[in-house]
Amino acid sequence: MDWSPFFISVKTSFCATVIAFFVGIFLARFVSRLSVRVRGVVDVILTLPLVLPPTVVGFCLLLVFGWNSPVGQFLRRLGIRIVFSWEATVIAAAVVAFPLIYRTVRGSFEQVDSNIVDAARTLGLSEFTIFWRILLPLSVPGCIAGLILGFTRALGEFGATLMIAGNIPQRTQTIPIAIWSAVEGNEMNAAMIWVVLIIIISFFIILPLNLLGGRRT
Amino acid sequence: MSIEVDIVKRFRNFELEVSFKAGEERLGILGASGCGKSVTLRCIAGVMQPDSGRIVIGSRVVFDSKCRINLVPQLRRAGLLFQHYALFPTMSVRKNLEIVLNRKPRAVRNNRVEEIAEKFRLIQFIDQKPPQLSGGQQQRAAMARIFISSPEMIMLDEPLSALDSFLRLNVETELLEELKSFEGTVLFVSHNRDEMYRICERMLVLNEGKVETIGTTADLFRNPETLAAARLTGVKNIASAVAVGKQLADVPDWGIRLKTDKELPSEKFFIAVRAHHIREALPFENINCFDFNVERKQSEPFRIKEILTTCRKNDTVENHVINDIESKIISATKIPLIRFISGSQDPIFLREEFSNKQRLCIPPQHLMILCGSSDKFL
Repeated sequence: MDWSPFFISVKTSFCATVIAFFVGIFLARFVSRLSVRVRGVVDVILTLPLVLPPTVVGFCLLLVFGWNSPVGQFLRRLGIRIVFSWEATVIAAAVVAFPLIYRTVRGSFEQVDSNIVDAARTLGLSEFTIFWRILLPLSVPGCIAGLILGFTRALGEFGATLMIAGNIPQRTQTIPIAIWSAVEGNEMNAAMIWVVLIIIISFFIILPLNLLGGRRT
Repeated sequence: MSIEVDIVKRFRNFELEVSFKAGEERLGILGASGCGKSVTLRCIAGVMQPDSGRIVIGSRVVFDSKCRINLVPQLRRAGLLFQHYALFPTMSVRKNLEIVLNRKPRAVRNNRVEEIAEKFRLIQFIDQKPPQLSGGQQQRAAMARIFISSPEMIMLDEPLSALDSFLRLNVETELLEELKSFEGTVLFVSHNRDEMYRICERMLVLNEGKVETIGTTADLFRNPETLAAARLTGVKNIASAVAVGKQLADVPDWGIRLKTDKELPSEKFFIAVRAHHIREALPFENINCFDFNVERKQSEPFRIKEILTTCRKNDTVENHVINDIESKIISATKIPLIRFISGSQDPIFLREEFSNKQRLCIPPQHLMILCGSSDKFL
């Protein structure tokens, strides 16, 4: 049995979650300071990857990173190829995990008592200090929730990954793709092992989220 | 150090238009809830932006819509104490203080924190987090945090309303001492007139987004001048009146014609008297003396509240009454008057046996003539 899909999946999900998390908190902070109307539009755009079919997301990523796009051309000149590489699995997973993290974190930023932030401002604290030392610590439960949701979503990513990273064993074959691949090849036992494994992983990742929620109420 | 405020801020169904100056003093802003008190403070602090106007703190213009000046709150040095204190809940009291000085060298920071913690008696709970502290302790910590930021002015937004009533008086006394030690303008917002009376030297009455009156606290309580000011300083008996002579007014709601000391204005006005100023009439006294029915008597611990209506002619109290021709009963009472009888040393328990009718005097010197356009307060 080749265990590489497990390691690829975990590594991919981990990297994707970290990237999506930092981009997510940055954009959450940015969006919550926009005017109401602009915020509505930006919010929709940032949420789209959550609701679009994964194939659509994959197609868009192909458009962006393909050989013929400006980004693709630029990366090619630097000697970097994204499509059908391990990095592509990270990009696909990060893009679909991002809206979940972004929305959860933004929700928890908005729940922080605005008086506390205002008080910090009148006391002369810089916006940087306010964000890292006051807003973020107060949003820890929301951030953890976002991280967990994002990680599980990244772990389960299939459609977009298949389109942009393909199904290359030992390189881009994540667990969901391995399952699909096994079923295609009529290896039901192998598929079953991966299915059970992913259920177990998901269960133990979601569990702390629920415990966390229970403690808060 | 002084401040100057002249701002306009529009909301959907409300417009705030505030203009005042304050020196090195404690100025109270008294107003009903929703009259724009908090918004005014927030605009001065810079966490809200007025639509137009100008704000000067000391010698610095911190906001000027014409010159496009709008300093961020961080640079205004205007301390604002929030109603619920807004301490940083994830940090200990010490960290709450330290973070204000986070750009200063460690030695300076530690010294200053020690010094302030001593002054505000925070030492015994300095390593605890705000949610573990009592209301009074939280308030001290929040005040300490403002002092440590060395502001040029301090604003307090209903600082005592979050406290239990039995705590409030102690905390208020401490707060007053702290404010007295501050050299600069203090703005104190409250809807509690007693608090304001004890803390502020001058007072500003804000009504529906407009400054109604500004003056020394004693003057405003003695002679509120406007309807809103009278209501907010606790005048119980207010009614609209019609001038029928230079110093003679008909008050249809009370059903009486009253003599006044002051000359009456020609425009619409209101007449008012504090509940404790209505007294028993002396024998043979007749100016502004009427026979009242005591409709209800309510006992408060150390005073009695009477609800009064005028008696009709045929059931007057006594026969020896000399009726004044000018001040007289003109109709039935629509809005009963309220009278307080105070001065009891022991708690009052009302017995049934009280006289149902009484001859009472509304002394002309205690009648207040109020202007005001809105009937909202009646």
